[in-house]
Parts: sequence; structure tokens; C-alpha cells
Amino acid sequence: MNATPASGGPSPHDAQRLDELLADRALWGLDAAETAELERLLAGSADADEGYDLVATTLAAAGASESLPPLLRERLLDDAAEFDFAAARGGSAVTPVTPRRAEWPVYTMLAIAAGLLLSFWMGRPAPSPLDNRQALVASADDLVEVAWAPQDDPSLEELPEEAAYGDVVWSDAAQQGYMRFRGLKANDPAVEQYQLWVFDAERDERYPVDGGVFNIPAGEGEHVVPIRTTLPVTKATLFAITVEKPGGVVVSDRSRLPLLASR
Amino acid sequence: MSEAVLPSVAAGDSDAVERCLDRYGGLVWSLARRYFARPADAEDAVQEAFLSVWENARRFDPSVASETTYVAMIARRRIIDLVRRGKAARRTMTQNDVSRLDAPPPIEELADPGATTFEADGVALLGFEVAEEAQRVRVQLARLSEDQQRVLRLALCEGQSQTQIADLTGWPLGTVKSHARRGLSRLRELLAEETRPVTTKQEADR
Repeated sequence: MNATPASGGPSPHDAQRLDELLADRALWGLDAAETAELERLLAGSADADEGYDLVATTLAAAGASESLPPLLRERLLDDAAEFDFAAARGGSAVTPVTPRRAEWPVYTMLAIAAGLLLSFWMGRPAPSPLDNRQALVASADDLVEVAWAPQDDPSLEELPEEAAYGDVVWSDAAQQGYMRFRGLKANDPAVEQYQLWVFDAERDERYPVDGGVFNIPAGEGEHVVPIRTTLPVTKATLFAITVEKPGGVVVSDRSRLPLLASR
Repeated sequence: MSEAVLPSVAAGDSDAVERCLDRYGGLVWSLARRYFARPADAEDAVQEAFLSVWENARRFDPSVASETTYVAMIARRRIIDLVRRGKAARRTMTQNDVSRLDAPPPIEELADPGATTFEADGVALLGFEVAEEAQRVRVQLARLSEDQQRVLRLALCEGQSQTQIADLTGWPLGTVKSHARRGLSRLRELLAEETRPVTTKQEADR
């Protein structure tokens, strides 16, 4: 097919397998065993063939639209300054450069260490989710703050006004957010759990990002829950709470959707 | 199109390295962000990706691919490699709305030049280049079966793994692989059949 067997090269079966591996490499990458198999098959092929990679890359790159963060650019320039271009140009082994991670100034590290020591000495507890929420509200320039809109679900208590169910704060830049809940009933984690979904303007709306599974403990008052997204959210537009089986789900049927918050 | 920077990068020209970052930094960053939830992980991946770009700069052949595509290919390979090595704890979902899953995927945005505009030496040429290639891919992608389009979009535009796509669609893993491989193969054939192929090498091969 697309791989080019050398004369007297791979069998039709090997040629087909080579084609599959080249396609898989372009789509999802290969594991160690598959890589070894590809290398073995390529030894019998006259053409390494990057055609699949080129097509896959063209499609993958089509939606790219972000800008390189300035601080990351500086780190890349530092990496380049240490990179042995002469060795790479000569095709010889390049001494690996360990990419520089973001470095914190010494005084910042000392201040943090001193703070940790002081809070340890004073027995100060770790910041609560409410403390962290307030810190985010105070620091984020791009803060999104939206109120929950109650839906028809038995997990909700009757409250006098809709806005009383709490709110969501979220920062796209910090990839951090918190939810406040009032009137959302305590759940039995052995029976069901709440799960957050974040809809991103930069993603297909059919595939919201999983924002984490959480519980509401019994007791009166307000509960603050941190958002734990497992994929980047470029521009959050809608937050949805569903009721799911313990551990959450990958695919939600949205049969129980107590709260929504739209920006 | 601007002059290629990779030959100068391979020569160790520091100005070329800066131009390379200005021209392709946003592209590589965007690719990394699809796979890594934490910005810090995405930043590390971009650093690893550019090391790979510099290592492979001397291999760039404009008769095989555009410089943009070549940089994106090298970077994407490295990013996927990092993902496979467990650098990204990822989890995605979809709504189990079968009727909506059966709808054609929204691929129209792939050809939107406004969504792919990068500044390169003050000129938004990368956006044009990416948009132009995306337009060609979009046209040919629409000729695939809906299932093939869906799998390719999830794999390449959303960065979903085979297992994740199987979860999202409810299809067996083998079906996912089959749709993806056949779709990619067919897409490659369709692009090669165009008057202006993806690569001049393919044109020569025809």
C-alpha cells in the first residue's frame, strides 16, 4: 500500500502490517513493542514513508490558534543556548539538554520555606478551599463568576431564590476554579456522586471536559469544591453538574442534571 | 511564503532560533495544550518538542513538506511520545447522546483562517499557510464516511486515544482502529489525487 517494499522485501502480510504501524504512529504514536516491530519491518522497506504523518499533522495543526507564552519563549531560548547544534548537524549523538523548568527566585523560595516553617511552628492549618477561592478571586484578571441555575432534580432542596444555590469561579489562565454550593443535598458516595463538566468554546460542545467527581457532605451551610479539570480549558462557557454512579463516568447520559452555570 | 528558517537553525544561528520560535512557537504550544491538562506539563512538552525540532532541523526537505508541516510533525511526534510515557494524566468524556454522536462532526472551523493566524516577522503567513492546507484537508475529509471523519477528528483534532474514542463512541477498539486507519489512508489518497498534492514528492510518485 503506502510503504514501499524493497525488491525481495517484506511479504504482503508484513507490508500490510507496516502500513498499519505507520498509520498508528501518525494517529496515536507507538509503544515500545510496536516501535521495535516497525523498525524491524522498515529494515526490509526502501521507504520509511512519512506520508501518514504529514496528512495527520496537517489535520492536527489546522485548529492551532494559541500564542507561545513569553516566559516559555525565554526558557526555549535558554535551551537553545545549551543545545549542541554542531553535533546535531553532523548527525552524531547530541548530548541531551535537560529542558530548564521555570525557576523561582531564591528569595521567593526562601520566603515560601520561611512561611511553611512559621505555619508549621504555629500549627496553622492548610488553606481551605474557601481560602483558595478567595485568593483566586483576588488575583485572577480573567475571572469568570457565574451563578448556578437550578434544574429539575431531586438532589436540590427548595430555596427561596434561584441565585441562592451558589456559584462558580474559574480562570482560564490559571486553569483553576471553585464551586460554591447551597441547597445541593448530601450524597451517599457508595450510591452516587456529583460530577462537573466544563464546556469549552475551543472544543466541540459534544465533548465537555471532565471537571472532577465530588461529594457534598451532610450538614448545613455552604460547601466549596475545587474544580479539577483533566484537560486544558481555553475558554469555559458552561458548567454542568450531573449525578453519576460512584467514581463518575466517561460518558454521561445527563439523565440527572441538577445545576447549570452559563457565562 | 517566507524563507525557511530550519536550515539556519541547523547551522546554530541564534537569530534563526528566535525566528523559529516566533513563527512556530504558537503552533507547537497549541498542539501540546491538546494533550496536557496542566499548563506546566504543556510547557515541558513544548521544550522537549523544540529540542526534537532542532535535532531534526537538518533533515528538513522543502520538496517533501512545508516547513510548517515539518515542524508540526516533529513536535507532535515528541508530544505524543511524552503522552504515551504517561506524562499526561488525561480523562475526557462525551455526552451519551447517540443521535448527536451520529451527526457529522463540525469540521468547518478547520478552514477558518482567522483561527490560525500567527505573526511571523509581522506577517500572518503561517495562518494563511495552515488555513490553506486545512482547507484542502477539509474538502477531502468531507468525502470520507461519517464514522471515519469522526474518528479522525477525535484522534487528531481532539487528541483522544484509541481507548477514549472507543469509550466516547461505544465502538469496539478494533472498529475504532479500522475506521482510523482506513480513513487516514483514504484521506492520503484523496489528497495525493488533487491537482496540487500535499507534497511535491507525492506528485513525483504519481
